[in-house]
Amino acid sequence: MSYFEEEYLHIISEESIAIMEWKGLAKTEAYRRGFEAFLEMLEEGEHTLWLTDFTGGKVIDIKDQKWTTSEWLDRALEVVGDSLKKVAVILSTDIFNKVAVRLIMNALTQNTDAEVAYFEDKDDAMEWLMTHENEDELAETSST
Amino acid sequence: MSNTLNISPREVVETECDRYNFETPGKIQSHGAILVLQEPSFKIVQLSQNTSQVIGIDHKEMINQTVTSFLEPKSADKLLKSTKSTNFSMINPIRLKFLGNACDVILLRYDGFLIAEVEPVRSEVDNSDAYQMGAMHAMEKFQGAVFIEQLIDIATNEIRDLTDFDRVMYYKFDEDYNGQVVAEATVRGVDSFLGLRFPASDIPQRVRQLYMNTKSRYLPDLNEAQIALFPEMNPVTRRGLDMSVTILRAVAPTHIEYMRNLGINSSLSFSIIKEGRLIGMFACHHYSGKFVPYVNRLVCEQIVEMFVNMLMQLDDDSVHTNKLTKYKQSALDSIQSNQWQAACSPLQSMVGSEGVAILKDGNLTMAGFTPTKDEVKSLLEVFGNPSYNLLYQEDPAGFFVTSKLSSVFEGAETVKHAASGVLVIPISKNANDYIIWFRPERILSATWAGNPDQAVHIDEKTMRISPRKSFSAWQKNVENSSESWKSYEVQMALQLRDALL
Repeated sequence: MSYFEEEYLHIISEESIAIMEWKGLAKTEAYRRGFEAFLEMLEEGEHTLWLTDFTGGKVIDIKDQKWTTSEWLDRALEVVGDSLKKVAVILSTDIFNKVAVRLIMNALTQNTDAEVAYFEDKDDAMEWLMTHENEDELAETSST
Repeated sequence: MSNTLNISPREVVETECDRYNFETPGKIQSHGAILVLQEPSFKIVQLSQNTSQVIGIDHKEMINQTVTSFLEPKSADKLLKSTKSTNFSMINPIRLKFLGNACDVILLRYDGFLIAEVEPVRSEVDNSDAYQMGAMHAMEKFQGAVFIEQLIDIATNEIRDLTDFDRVMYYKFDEDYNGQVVAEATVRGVDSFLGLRFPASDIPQRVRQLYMNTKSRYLPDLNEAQIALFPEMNPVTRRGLDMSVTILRAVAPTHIEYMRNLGINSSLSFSIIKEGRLIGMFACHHYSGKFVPYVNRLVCEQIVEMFVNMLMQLDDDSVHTNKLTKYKQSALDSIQSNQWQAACSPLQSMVGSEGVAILKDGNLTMAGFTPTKDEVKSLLEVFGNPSYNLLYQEDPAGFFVTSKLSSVFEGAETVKHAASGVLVIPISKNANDYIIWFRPERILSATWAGNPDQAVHIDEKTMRISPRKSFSAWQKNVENSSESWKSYEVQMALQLRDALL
């Protein structure tokens, strides 16, 4: 289900997967509005898996990147708590976006036990996320 | 008896290069160890013979075992989770605790194997912290740059700060891959290489290809022995391990000799690749051995990517094209109304030439600094002569461009004062009607690092080829050449041609 869609960002809820697809340059106001929308979606659903697709992402202003790691991430992790299991990341070709994403993901891995993996394309990322889901389902089935 | 070759050093070096297995040397440099793993078992099928020094476990103990059995449990789990990624660029280096030493591991998948390059941990600084510090600093600097000179200055100095090398140079290739040091950052007391040119034979084509495959090349200590792989042949493929994209790949003997002749003991270079072409390098020299942690080299690689990204924005051809389009339109309007003399001035402006000639229905119109009328006619006869096939070699609609006309046909030297560079387009179908732009000879006094005509040395007895011994400044003029034609200038001419044909 599409949750937020603008020229630069599409946010989708697909059962337990929260998806962010960055498609272009977002200046401060738009960038933060996108992350706030993602957080709202997390508050409304039970998303244990994130797919963050930065393919079309462009440079992220340093102050926005710092806001993401020092402010937004704390709030997001408070919402999802231990329920966040895996984060699949697809990288942009833009080097400035790549560096900012690495810094954001470093902050994420230091504050959660969720697994983070990096992929070239969406199919590989989804397959990895779904394998995780299946493993959980199998574990639940075998324990009952 | 020995002699110094004074002809075709480039050809000699290319031939010498063909003799060395750059991609499969069967050896690595000793500052790290290499483990070749089969997936999904993670069995070690081949490794370097220095694991006891780097990892703390003998290579004979590790061969044919799973790598996880030599890791502490948390590190084994970390490695397995890391291998789920298909893109390792964001997770390298991975700090793992072997049952011997803690190491930084750099993963890559290549040729059907998972290759782990293992470097010892020599700094207490956490990799994430080191990355954050270096990358943030560089990003902040770059985001304030508005001129190309600033970009060059930022990249050169950031790389020097992160590597602590004695000399960091921005080394730029010309069209023929001769290199020139156009910017430099050094520690006090180190000789300057600024402005020096190096002949193309110093970095032969095969080596340039290797620089295209990897973002950096690091040689921390030329005095260290190189380490053989065990077993020598990969037991699965039954051939030597292709190490063309690895960090630890051994160094060719000729290159070691070249570096020693330069007096340096450690080098680090970062490839500058723009639109699929190697356009230069940031080259670092150190006069003693120098270890730089992988994470610092990674930040430098990304600084170079940022540099190229911003260079492309600042050097965007479309900016120039927009300025020149009005001249093209003015020239087109004049030509279409048969006002040939009026067309000459905008024609010159649209490509930045000193002179122009238009041949239409046998009538020649000329303006600016050109060869004489007879010389222009002779030139146009050459371009119109199908046996030369100069105009239609690259494009069926026809065009020709050179900044060194004398290299194309004999006799051009007589017109070099006005026409060392020419750009020619046909302006009608099935007729010998042309526009030809001229650029005069520009003599450059170039300072080379050693005599470029004697770039290599051959021992006639052993036929062994080695790099020149002296890199002392050598003055040599570059003659018979004009200023190069920029791609956007050629594009302007082609657009005019297409509008007229």
